[in-house]
Amino acid sequence: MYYSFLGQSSALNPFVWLSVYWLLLTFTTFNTVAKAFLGETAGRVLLYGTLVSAESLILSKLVYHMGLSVIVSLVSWLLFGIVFDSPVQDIALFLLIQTLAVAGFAAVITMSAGIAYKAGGNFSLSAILSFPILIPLIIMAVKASKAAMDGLDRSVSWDELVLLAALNVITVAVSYLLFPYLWKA
Amino acid sequence: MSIHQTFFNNRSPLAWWKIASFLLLLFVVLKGFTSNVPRLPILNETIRNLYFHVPMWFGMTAFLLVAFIQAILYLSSKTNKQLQDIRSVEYTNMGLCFGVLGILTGMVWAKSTWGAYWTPDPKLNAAAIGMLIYSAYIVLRGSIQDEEQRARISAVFNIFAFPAFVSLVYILPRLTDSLHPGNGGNPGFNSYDRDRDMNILFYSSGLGFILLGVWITTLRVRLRTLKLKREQALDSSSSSILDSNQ
Repeated sequence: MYYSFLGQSSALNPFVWLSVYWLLLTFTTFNTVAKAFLGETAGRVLLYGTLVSAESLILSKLVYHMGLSVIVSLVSWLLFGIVFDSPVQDIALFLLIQTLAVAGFAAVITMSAGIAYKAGGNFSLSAILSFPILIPLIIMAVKASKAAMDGLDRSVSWDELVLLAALNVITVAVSYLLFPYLWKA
Repeated sequence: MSIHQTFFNNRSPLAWWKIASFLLLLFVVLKGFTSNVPRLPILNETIRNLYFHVPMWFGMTAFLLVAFIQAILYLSSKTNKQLQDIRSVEYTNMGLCFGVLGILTGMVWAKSTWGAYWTPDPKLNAAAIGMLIYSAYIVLRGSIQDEEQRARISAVFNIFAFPAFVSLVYILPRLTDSLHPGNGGNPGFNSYDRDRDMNILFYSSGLGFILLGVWITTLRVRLRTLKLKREQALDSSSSSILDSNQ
């Protein structure tokens, strides 16, 4: 897809740039995080059961995958910015939105991957479970990052930023509370 | 049968709230299509859809909330778990059913006022994605064999999905521009054209449809409970046959 765009011109229309970039972020995060539980063999699950509580297991999974996907998203930002000229004007705000959104994606996908793992370890099930829940995050992130791209006043994106942060907190809190019930099942 | 058993037992077909639901909906259907409504440009007679479209979303939210609460109860309680699981599923199904009806009534309305059955409007997309979330719930339940695991995992997903659903349907559309009445600076119907008669019809319709949904759901819950009991009875009798054979 990059090359098909490159073949036409190296400078993308800002709208296309933004949509392709969010597509990239969504799928990168999904591929980074969706295997959160796939590597867990029955023996290792038994080992976790004897060593750590379910709460600390989900917290460590969340911290690791949220951190990892934020790092991966920053790398994608660099690479994408090198390959395609970035039309973003307010870079600090854009990266803040991106970090919040990607952390939220990672939290949702980690928990969905846990649910899918417990439901039989089906990889496509985690996509079915997580994508509808990701959409509110994506809508808010695209809207706020559009404002940041156009260099609008920062107060314009305030609502979206607060909501993104709130959804992150809710997702992590709900995962923390629910995971013990899931893990015991 | 005593009066008490006839009108105040929830299982009786003549329980007071079932009669109320019937009367309210009869009133809504008769008056909803015949009573006077304000003549407004573009809207014209389609304003009557207020009595049928909006109550669907009230109902859906109410049922999904009940399903969410039942899922929490399922995870937190020690006894009567199967009943809570069945209730959670059936209220989710009923919520989905109301959501589909809400989308259909909205589409009919949109065709005559906006000129198309579907527009890429935030509110419409949010409603469709909300349905997707709960379809994923159904898919999840279908993919697990073990009954106890299915109940537990789907309860976890139900609780996990509810905040996303609420933010999607009730918070996000308010932040964006939307054609839909009541969103993005568009006034809701109440602010300019709902008179007293319309209000009475509107609220009785909301209540009537919710009661109807509860009625259908209680019937389905009872049906599933009976099936479960029958299965358990069959299981225990077949295992006793096995025991006697040994």
